[in-house]
Amino acid sequence: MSLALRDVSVRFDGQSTLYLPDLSLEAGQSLDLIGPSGAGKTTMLMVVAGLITRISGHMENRFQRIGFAFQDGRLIPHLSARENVLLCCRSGGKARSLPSLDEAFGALDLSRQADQRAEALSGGEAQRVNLLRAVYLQPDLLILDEVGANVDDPNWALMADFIERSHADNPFAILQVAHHASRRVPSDDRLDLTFSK
Amino acid sequence: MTKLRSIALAGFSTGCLIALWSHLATQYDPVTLPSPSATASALFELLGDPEFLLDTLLTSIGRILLGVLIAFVAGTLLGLLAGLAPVLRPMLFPIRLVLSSMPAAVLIVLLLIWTGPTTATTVIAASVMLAPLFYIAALDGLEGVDRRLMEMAQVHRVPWPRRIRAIIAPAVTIALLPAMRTGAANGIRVTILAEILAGTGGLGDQISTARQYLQTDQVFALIILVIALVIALESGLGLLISQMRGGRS
Repeated sequence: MSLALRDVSVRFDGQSTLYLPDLSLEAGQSLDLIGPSGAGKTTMLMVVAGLITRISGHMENRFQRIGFAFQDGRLIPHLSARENVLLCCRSGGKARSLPSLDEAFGALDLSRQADQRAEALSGGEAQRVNLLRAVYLQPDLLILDEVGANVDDPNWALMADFIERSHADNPFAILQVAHHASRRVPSDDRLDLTFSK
Repeated sequence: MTKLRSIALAGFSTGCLIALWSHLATQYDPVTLPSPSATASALFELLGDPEFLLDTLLTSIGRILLGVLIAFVAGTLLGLLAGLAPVLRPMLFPIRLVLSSMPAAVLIVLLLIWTGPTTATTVIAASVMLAPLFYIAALDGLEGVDRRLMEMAQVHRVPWPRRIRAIIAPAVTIALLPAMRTGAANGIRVTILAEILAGTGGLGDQISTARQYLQTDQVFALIILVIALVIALESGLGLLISQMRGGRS
């Protein structure tokens, strides 16, 4: 499994064009996307996730399953935290052995919130559920978009530890964007988008 | 303002209206304006008459329910189709515009020309007048679906039945509930009007007949019954909506 982008550009509203740098990511590898605001980091994540499809250039994404932890959470408000996680899991049996969901909630200090509606969760709790949803579906590629930006230090420590332990069990590739170095999980490489225009 | 205070104020204004009505009734002939007590006794007489309950009241309620149900199904389905296939929207726009702008009485007259004075006239009138309401509500609901949640579901390859159940259906339902409340109340109004104009039995026809025989107390009693039906239906659906919204908040 691998991901490769070559000479990819995205055209917005038929007006401006954003040229993305070439990218290559193999199974189990991790990569930081860095650069100032507006450099195209989130756009690149959206392209990789298949949410932006009108692109020029070449993209080959052989990852079968993507887990995306969004910057803005994107939990379904009327569902419980547990239902939000299970919504994205494959039905009809588990392809790989999944840890107990209760254990996963416990690892993120969310045991008491598991059956609460998402709309009743605090911002930090919602972000941890957002991360849990992306990891629990056993992805080949985990995308982290500023997932720790609005989380305090103790909660980020829980999240980072959860990602590392999950990665040890299931060595997924990681593509992450985080403005602050303190909110990144350790990675193998980095790609600077500063001059991609 | 507390709920109790609101109820007390509403009760006070109702009492004032009845007092005014009683006073005016002493100034006019009972054929022109029957007193509240005469109206009340006519109302109890009607409600105690099994023939009225079965042949008149139930007939009207059945027509109202059928008309609203057909409008709900047809309007919602067309709204969902137009939401999923935007090419349908401009095609349906002229029909929606004509139906939304046409006065109910005009439509009923047309139906009387085409179908004659039958039960179908009253049911079709309500269905046709109300379908645009549900069409717009379903379309709005579909357009109100959170695109960010749909993207989340797309990335995570959530199966379509789950997407519909968890993301799309709640958004459409929230938009349809207020339409159902308005539609049900309007369904009563249109059906009664169609019964008055078509003379096909039911509450509207009985109002028309009572007027012809100068039984004004019965006309007033029937009007009160119709108002009570509208209030009961609106309150019941309002309660259901607030419970569903409360359940989501």
